[in-house]
Amino acid sequence: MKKLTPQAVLGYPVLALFVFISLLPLWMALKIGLTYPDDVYTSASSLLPNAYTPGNFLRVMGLPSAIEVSAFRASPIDFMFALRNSVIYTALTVTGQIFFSALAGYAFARMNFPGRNKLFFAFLAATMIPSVVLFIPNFVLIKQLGLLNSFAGLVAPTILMTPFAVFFLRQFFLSAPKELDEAARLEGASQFQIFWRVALPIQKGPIATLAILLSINSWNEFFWPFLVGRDPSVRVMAVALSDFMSQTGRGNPDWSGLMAAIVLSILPVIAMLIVFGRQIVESLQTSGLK
Amino acid sequence: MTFLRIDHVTKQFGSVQVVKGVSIEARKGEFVVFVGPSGCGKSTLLRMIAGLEETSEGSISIDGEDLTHADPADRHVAMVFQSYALFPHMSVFDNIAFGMQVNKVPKAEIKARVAEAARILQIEPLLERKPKQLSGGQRQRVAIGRAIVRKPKIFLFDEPLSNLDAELRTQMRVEIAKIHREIGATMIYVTHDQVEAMTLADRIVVLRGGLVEQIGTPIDLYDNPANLFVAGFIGSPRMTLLSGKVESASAHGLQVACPAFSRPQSISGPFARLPQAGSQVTIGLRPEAIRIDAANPVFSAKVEITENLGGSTLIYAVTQDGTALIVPAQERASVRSGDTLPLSFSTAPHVFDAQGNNLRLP
Repeated sequence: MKKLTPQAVLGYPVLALFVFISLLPLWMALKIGLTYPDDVYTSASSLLPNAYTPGNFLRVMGLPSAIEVSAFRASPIDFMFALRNSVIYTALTVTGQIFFSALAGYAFARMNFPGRNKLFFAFLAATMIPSVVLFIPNFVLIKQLGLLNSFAGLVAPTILMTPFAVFFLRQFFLSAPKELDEAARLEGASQFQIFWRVALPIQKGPIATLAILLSINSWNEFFWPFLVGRDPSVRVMAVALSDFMSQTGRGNPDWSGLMAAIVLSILPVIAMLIVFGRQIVESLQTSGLK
Repeated sequence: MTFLRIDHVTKQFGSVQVVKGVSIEARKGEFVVFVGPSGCGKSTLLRMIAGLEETSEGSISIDGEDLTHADPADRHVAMVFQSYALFPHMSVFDNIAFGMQVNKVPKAEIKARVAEAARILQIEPLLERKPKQLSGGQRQRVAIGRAIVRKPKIFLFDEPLSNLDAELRTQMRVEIAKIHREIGATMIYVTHDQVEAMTLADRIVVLRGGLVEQIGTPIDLYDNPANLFVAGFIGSPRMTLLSGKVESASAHGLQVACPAFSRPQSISGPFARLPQAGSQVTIGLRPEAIRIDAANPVFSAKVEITENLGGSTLIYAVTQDGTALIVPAQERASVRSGDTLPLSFSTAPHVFDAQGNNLRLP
């Protein structure tokens, strides 16, 4: 057994306090989600609800529930459908962005063409542009293309690439042994075959890392989907939550329903954390971002 | 008939010229070794044959076809890299089959050809493994297997044994020689290890500073080195080089005085060129030309250290003028550090002029 040092005696309670502080909001959301709407205020100071009910979760998922809330009944939001939209939006963004960014990153790392370094510098410079600045021109473009309220419009700004993803993958392609490309070239593989069958598969680790980072980002993305995807047919979870909050009365929000929906929306992220926890921590370290 | 013709090729990297007009020819089925110190341009030359480096000037043709600027895939050459360059995410089978798979060779034929290569290289039980599950020697075999299945016109080896330990290197060297005999393909082999060059090559190309110093059979290079560089580079233990001065020169021989010698020595001809009396020369003695000779010593050397190899002994000694030399003794020599050895030389030694060129060669 480890020796109990003075540092540990002092350290563990501090760590426990931090864990408590970090988990408290999550727990409160879960608790309120499991509370009857009428009990929300009466049990507010307690860490546990007076009585448990799965009703809030059932109703936000569009399933029959014993709990009826007037505002919700008036205009129900199908959170299961929003969840599906979020999955589609995230999957499209992540797969598209990784594929195209890998192509660009590989080209920058391995291919010689005039203006390569200048172009790459432009990519690097683009990482410094705050995304907020791009919202208005992007919105105008998407609107003029008639892509509002479509998945195409939702994913358009990011599916082809982000400068960060290109930069991230380029670094890994650069560090791969050049001889592998050369060996494949001698074997008669085309440039794309070298990329697809040799260069890309050996970057499985970095690609998984990038996929995790991008998934979390896309899943949590609110502002852009809020601008171009308000229609229920493409409305993602984050936007649905916002709509849900705004349509219940200001003085009397449906807290228990909202919290149930929030817990529902973060379940996939939590699942990812559990499965890929170690890789996420490593990815945050290697990317040096966030 | 010439199979590979390299004609006055140069390679320029920016302002640096690393290959400076090299011409080499190889016959079909020949095993040619490029040897030289680091930075002599031997690997660059190999990569130019493969098409992995552009040729700045000159031409390269294989089997009569000018391929100077052809794509690597169109040259029908296979290369074994120093790092093996095995695809880490593929099994041994897929590594060997890769070229055939991208070229859409029928599956049954791929299977048969991989099986044949695996048989030659004795790697049949390893076909399902990934490269990281293989030892260095096994990886080497897989890399050679990948080359063999393509039935290339020329095999290119870029220092393929330098990542292996000494014992495995010797073993693989023999394997490569066997493979060459079995498949009879033209092979170009780059190494900085002159023992590999001597043991494997039909012909050796000695390179230095981007230029060819000498081309010849191993024995030719050993017996008739064109210059001091080749003399020092080829042969292990190295040739002993003693500086001296010509006292007189005639068709019969030279009279040379060396600080290491107790008295001027006559060195018998024939010589292609005769140096002038008074000019500086270097006497080159192969280890086997030096013998311990108490009866009629020509020079002496002080023993520094002896290496007992079991069957023979290598005596490391220093002459009076400070030149280090190695004397091989066939028996277990009973000499100790600090002893003075009486020495003479048994065959007519090499003599190099002040520019380092062998006076016995035209």
